[in-house]
Amino acid sequence: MSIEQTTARAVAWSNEHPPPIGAPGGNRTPSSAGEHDAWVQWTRDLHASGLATLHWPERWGGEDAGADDVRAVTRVLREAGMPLPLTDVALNLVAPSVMAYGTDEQKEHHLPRIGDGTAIWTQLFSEPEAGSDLASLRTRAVPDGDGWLINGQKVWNTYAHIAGWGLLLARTGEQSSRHKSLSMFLVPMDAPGIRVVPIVELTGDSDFNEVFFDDVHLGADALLGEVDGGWGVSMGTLAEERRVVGALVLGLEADARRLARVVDDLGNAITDDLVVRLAEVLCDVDALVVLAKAGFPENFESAGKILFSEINIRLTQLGIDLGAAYPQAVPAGWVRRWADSYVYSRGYTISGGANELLRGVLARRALGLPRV
Amino acid sequence: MTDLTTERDAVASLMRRNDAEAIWSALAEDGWLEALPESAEEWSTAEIARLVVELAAGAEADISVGAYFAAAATLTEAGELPDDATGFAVAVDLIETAEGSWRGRLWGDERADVIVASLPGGIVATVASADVETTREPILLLAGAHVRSVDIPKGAVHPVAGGSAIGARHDARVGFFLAVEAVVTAQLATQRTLEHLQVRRQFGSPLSTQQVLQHRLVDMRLAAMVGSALLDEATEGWETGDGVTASLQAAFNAGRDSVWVAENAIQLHGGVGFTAELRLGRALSRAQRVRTLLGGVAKSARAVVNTTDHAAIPGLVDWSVSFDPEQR
Repeated sequence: MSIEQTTARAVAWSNEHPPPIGAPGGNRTPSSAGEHDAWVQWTRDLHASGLATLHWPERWGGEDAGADDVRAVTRVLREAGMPLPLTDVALNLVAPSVMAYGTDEQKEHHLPRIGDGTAIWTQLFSEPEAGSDLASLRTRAVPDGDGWLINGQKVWNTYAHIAGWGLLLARTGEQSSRHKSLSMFLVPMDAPGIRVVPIVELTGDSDFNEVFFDDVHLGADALLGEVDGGWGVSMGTLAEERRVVGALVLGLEADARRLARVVDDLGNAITDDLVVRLAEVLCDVDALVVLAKAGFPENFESAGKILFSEINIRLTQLGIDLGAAYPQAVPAGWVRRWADSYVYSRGYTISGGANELLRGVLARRALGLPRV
Repeated sequence: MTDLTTERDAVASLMRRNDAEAIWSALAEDGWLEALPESAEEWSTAEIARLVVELAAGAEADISVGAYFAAAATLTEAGELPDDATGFAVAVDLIETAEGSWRGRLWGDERADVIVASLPGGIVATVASADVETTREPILLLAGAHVRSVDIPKGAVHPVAGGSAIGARHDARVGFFLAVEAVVTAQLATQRTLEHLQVRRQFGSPLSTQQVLQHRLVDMRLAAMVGSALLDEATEGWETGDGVTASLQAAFNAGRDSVWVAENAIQLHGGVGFTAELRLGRALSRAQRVRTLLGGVAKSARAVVNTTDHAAIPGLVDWSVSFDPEQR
């Protein structure tokens, strides 16, 4: 199938499946029961179309499509103003880890449920005292009969309040061993002892949660990969998360194009200040698209997240300013979208490793500078 | 793509001479100035750009070949490349004066005897350098900027074939080659700053142990990465036939990011960064001159916005037009 055919297929599906919640900024979750049901159905429809798992192996229901096809689909969905599917974490973080580290039984159980869009997952990594410094996490997993006993607390867990499963990183050895004593688990979120508490964010919504584990028993089959091998799994997962930036960049590109169309329509009526800011955004976004497509150089992987999150702030602020200056020229939905995105954008510079931490990582790994 | 490793090594060797006149002579004697974009089957704008990278990176003396190749490429494309020219320069941002001449900026080496001028309306014309008057460009009094103010008598210009189409490509090509020089020089300045911070000690420790300086260096490196990505896109564009949009982006961005990188390279070096010895002023001058291209930042920004593809995907419904968070 050519890129043009893939694009046409995605356009046809998108036009026939209105989004369940319009086009909010960021990685959002349902805020009401009605919204939840509509979003779940929309997510399953997307999976039923095959577009969500285009790149998966045929063995697991995919079409073995290449990166260009995946980008074409993502570009269409972003330009259509679609939200992310509720299976976002499952598709981009869990499935690659299960494919890489899972047992045959784990693959047989989980991949079909992710593939058909019925399994919603949450990522259970960050803790109150272990955010960007993930290796210091304290949630413990100790042997318990033929399984594991989990105690601790996680935080900033998207989808946890609606998820059926969680990908948990927990300590299985000495605290002092840091990343060498962590293990990864596949956790049913309805297991006794798990309590989910939504966090009300500055957006006014509750897209993140705290998750408490009080003597939660897991079977032996919950372990993903080797005991104490969780750091390697998590790094692969986080690498996937940063690769997700590639998809987010296409969202930036869609919004940059919307801004450019507004400015184009205004012609010479628009002020130089706004034109210069838009040109800067267009250049940055195009460069980021090129970099994300080619893949960042070794040791520069974190650069994508830094660039995306900081361009995103400038882009959404520009959208707000443009809407304020020329309200007659900007569709009301776009102004509301950019206002919503701007508030949410502050989260992107923190999540997945605060940008300050990532600059430190780049300084050491990419530039060879000493740890400070 | 032609393997140019040998050619690049040879050029790099030439550029190690610390004498601008000697380098120009050597380039001519060895035939490099005849390796004009689009002039021979094995040379393309993109391949010449890779040589310009070597020229910009390797030169000990302060020479600039970007304008030379941009002018020559346009004349070649128009089929009007003179056989006996000794050098080429470009005149840009020309406006009509009350005295009946074209006034603007002249970019390029002073030995150029043929000037390719961008007239209003997208018309490209040639003029003999002997027929124009030049002075130092008052807003760019930087060593090595290779920019002068120029007055061109109207009667001295000879429009080339191709009309505004060739004019648009010419302006973009000028921006592209000057951006190559600016970005490469900014990258060198970043590398030099990195090395300086690792050996320069203050208060008993290398400056590279200070987090604020580490983060600044990371941002300089990221700026260079963005600049290179845009140049790569432009290079690919020239390979496939249309490098105009990406070149305008690369030039606009170089005028922003490369200036910022050069300023910080000087700042992070401290006092020694302000000396001529380190040649960081070259990074500043090359970035500043591309910033003034096409009439400056605002005009360049409009060119970027007007030419960047922002069309919606045909037939696609954009559901975000009616987004209303209150209905959630």
